[in-house]
Amino acid sequence: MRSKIGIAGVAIAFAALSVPSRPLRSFERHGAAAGIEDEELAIRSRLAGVRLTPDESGYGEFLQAFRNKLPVEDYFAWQKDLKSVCATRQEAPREAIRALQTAIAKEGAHMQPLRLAYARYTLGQLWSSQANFEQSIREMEAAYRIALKAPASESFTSHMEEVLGINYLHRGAFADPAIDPAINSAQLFPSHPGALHTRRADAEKAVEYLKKCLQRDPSNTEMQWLLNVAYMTLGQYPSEVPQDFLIPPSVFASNEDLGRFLDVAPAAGVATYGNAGGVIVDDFDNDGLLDIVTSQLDDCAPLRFFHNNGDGTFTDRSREAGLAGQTGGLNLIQADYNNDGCVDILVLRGGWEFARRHSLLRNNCDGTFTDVTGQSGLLSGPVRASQSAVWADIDNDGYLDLFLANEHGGSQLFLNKGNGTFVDISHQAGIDQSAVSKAVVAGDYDNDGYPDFYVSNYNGLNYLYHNNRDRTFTEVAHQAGVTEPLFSFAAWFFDYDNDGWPDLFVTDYFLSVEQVARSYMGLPSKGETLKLYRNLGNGKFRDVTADVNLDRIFMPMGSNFGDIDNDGFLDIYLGNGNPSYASLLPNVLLHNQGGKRFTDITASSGTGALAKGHGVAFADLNNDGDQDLFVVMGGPQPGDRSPSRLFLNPGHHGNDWISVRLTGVKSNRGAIGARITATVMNQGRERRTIVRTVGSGGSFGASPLEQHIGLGKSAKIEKLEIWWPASRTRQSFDNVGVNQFLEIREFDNNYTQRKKRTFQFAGARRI
Amino acid sequence: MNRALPALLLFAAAIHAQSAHRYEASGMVLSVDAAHGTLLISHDAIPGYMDAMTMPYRVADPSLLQGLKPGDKIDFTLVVSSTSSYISRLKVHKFDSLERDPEQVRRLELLDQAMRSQSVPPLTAGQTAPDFSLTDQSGHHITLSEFRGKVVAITFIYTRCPLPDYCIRLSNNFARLQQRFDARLGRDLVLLSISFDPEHDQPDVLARYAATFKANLAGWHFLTGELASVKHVCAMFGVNFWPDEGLMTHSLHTVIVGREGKLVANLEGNQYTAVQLGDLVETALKNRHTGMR
Repeated sequence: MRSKIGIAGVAIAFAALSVPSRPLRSFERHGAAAGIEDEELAIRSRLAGVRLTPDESGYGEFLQAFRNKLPVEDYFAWQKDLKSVCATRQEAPREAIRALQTAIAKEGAHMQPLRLAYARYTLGQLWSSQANFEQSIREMEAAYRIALKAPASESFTSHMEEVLGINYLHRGAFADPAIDPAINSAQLFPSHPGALHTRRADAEKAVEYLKKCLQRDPSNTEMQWLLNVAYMTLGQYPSEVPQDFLIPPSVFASNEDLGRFLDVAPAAGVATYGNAGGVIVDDFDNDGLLDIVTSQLDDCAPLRFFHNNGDGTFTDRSREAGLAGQTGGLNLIQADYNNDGCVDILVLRGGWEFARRHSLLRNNCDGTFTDVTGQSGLLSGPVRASQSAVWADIDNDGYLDLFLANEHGGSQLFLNKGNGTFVDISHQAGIDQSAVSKAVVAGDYDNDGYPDFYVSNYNGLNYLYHNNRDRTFTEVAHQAGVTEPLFSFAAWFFDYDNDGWPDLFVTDYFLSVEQVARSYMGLPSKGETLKLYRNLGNGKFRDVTADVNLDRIFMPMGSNFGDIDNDGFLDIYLGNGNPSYASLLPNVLLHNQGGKRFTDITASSGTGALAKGHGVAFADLNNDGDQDLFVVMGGPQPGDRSPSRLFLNPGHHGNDWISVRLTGVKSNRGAIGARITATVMNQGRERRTIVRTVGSGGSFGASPLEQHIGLGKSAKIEKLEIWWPASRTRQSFDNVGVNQFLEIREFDNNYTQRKKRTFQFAGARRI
Repeated sequence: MNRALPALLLFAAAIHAQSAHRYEASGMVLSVDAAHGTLLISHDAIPGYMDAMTMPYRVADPSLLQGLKPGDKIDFTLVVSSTSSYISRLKVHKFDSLERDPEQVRRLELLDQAMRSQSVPPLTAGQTAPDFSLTDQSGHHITLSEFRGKVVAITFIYTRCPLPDYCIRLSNNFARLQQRFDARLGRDLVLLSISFDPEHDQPDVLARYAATFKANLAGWHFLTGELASVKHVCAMFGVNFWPDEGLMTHSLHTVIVGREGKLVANLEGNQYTAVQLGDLVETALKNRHTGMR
């Protein structure tokens, strides 16, 4: 058990705390001196004094109203009935607003001024969460005016100045669906003067309030960050930002330029204006074109199935596909779980909120889907909140099993019986430890031919489950050295340095805009950074985060990896933010420079969308040989909607590539877990190997199962090898041509070339 | 405690015999004796006058004591003359607690009150705490009434509380109480740490948490239970908590229940020292009859 570690050390540390006046400082000092061994406590002690970003969005109020409306009886039935869940989600905030209005009307005149101010502020938060910004700002301004006159209200008054600054900024720049994000550079970070579509009066109000906050507390880097963003939305950054508070453009400048991506989502018809959610990009109808499926956390929003028309447009076929009744879902993943050659969908619900059912949607191979969750046995146990799951064939029997990472009550492992049903083996398998698990990913980190699992936990150390090859697992995160961060979120296995061993990347989701801003500005910061663990090939990993320049603090939610410049090294895209309107942070694109370091190319690539980034997929959506980026954008509630983005890759790198689609015969048909090794000669002088494992990528956002592999300059593939997990066989093909789409079947002697037509997106003409 | 009080008072009086001096000070109220117009304060150092200590003081005007209760953090003006000393001014500190987001605690409290027709007001000092039953770190049932005749200090925590400023500080305060009242723990004084994250904080988790604080389990119990039971107990003492993105938004409370089961004090926030908390416990221990005077 990991928690055995260092108990004695901690006890010493706490014994040393017997100092009367300032226990916190003592904690830090004595903690370090006594050498705290307990990782969790050591990390927490480092976080003392960090400013956590307050929830200025009303999501907390909304969620509490929702919780207050949960049925007491028939809760289990409610959790399984998506229509009831939607009805409760819609009714709860309305009822909360009515209740507060009634309380204020009835008792307001007799309330103490500060209590009344809080009541109106709370009401404003609820309006704000429901996108009624006129009402919300009216209530918040009223609360502020009451506080100004009330005695002993200094701290509340200054708090309301922050709140108003944040809310005016949100309304001014990010809350109007009429604003076309594709031409609004104000929403791409860092924005520059020109082509702005901002409600100027609001942005000016934001500046006014944020300045007040900073005059009072010049060291508040959260407010400083927001002030700079507010000037961006006014088109006055950096020239008009008061010198004392300017975050200079050099902080955001990219040191590398791989060309500017262009958001073609509106023209392509996929710019869904919505909330946080998941995405799968894959070819659901086997027509050689990658389709897009998106979900939203909003329990009333249906899945969207965007069929790729192959001409730069997509058609929403949700209704025809039978998916219109599938509402809600913070995340999605895909797999051909029944080996029928058509990719199925799993919808995960309840993440960050509370339990409601998930859905397994069987692809009928005729353009429709059927909800088979109940009959498959996946709803046989308790319903738990989950936002991450992974498909992996744990016993190499050719059928994909399902690992569900749950937020409460322990994770679950469902063994695929091969007849369309599953059996819960969580406890026997030894993976049912309870934690707020936010990600599960599969990878064969010891290359023994059996998939292992990594579970990232929020506010707890992470788990690495080693596959014992007998349908049981042993938790070895400590021995392997991969327990952190303490506030983990998205994660994945990828071979960032192409040495053939899957490395491990984990994001940190500690909620502090202050720390993110400090990290950007190069100031000393206390938050946890991203983590990159390099696989040493001996069952252990080494923390190389700082070596590769990833020791930075963002606030990543959805994120994924891919190779945007086809250099053969996997890059990272992070969708940042949290529900608070104060977490106005850009998404980030990090370019992997030869497996040596990552460099921030957000500014030069134009991919720094300034709204909450969720499901991310890397996929070549127009078959032109480079990966584009699809990103679901928006916060968790109506007041924080944003359009999804489809960033088209400019393809200016001049590198070669190959795309490989594998079809398993003894191994699972979608070939999840199969390994592709390309031995490549670049420019006739440099030989290297590139290894990819078939899967949908990271834990929050699903890329296609067909593998797009960048090969670098003037590449020749000397050898292309496929390793198949269930049959444990290897295929090898010599001198394979580059820049083409291949299909390879398990056991076949030859590969097939797939003809795909390249096309352009309409939006690509506009600059 | 009451470290060598009479001698000190004489000493103070001797030094300041010539003229009346005024000192600004702050501290925590340990007990109030309205009938005699006095109160016992555990106060911080008074620069130029005396070190931090526990002292009884007289007030100039008995109305200053109105509404004052044990646990209140106060600022006061002490007037010291050649013949007497008394408190001329007294202001109760409404200090900010350091929850993750104190504004949110207040907002959610208001929202819950508005959405629910009836709400149970928390106990006030002097009221008898209704009995409750929870499960401790060893899986044993613990009821409040079994400690009748002893002083019970109760705090509310969750083991995954991410920052040392909050729950860890409250637990650390209890660790200091355990040290200070070592000989009396379990016999005369009982400490209860109640988790408001019962789903995660099962007995085994609490046992490990207890071990990190070297808790003497004979007198310090870590409690969990059904969510509804925990909520009920929390509501009794005005403790509010809401799940929030894998964390908890919550208010901070430490309460003292007297030997006869009556509420002595309910400390909100964390802006008091472990010594002051200990002084409050000491005062309650001294009182063999009731939690209130």
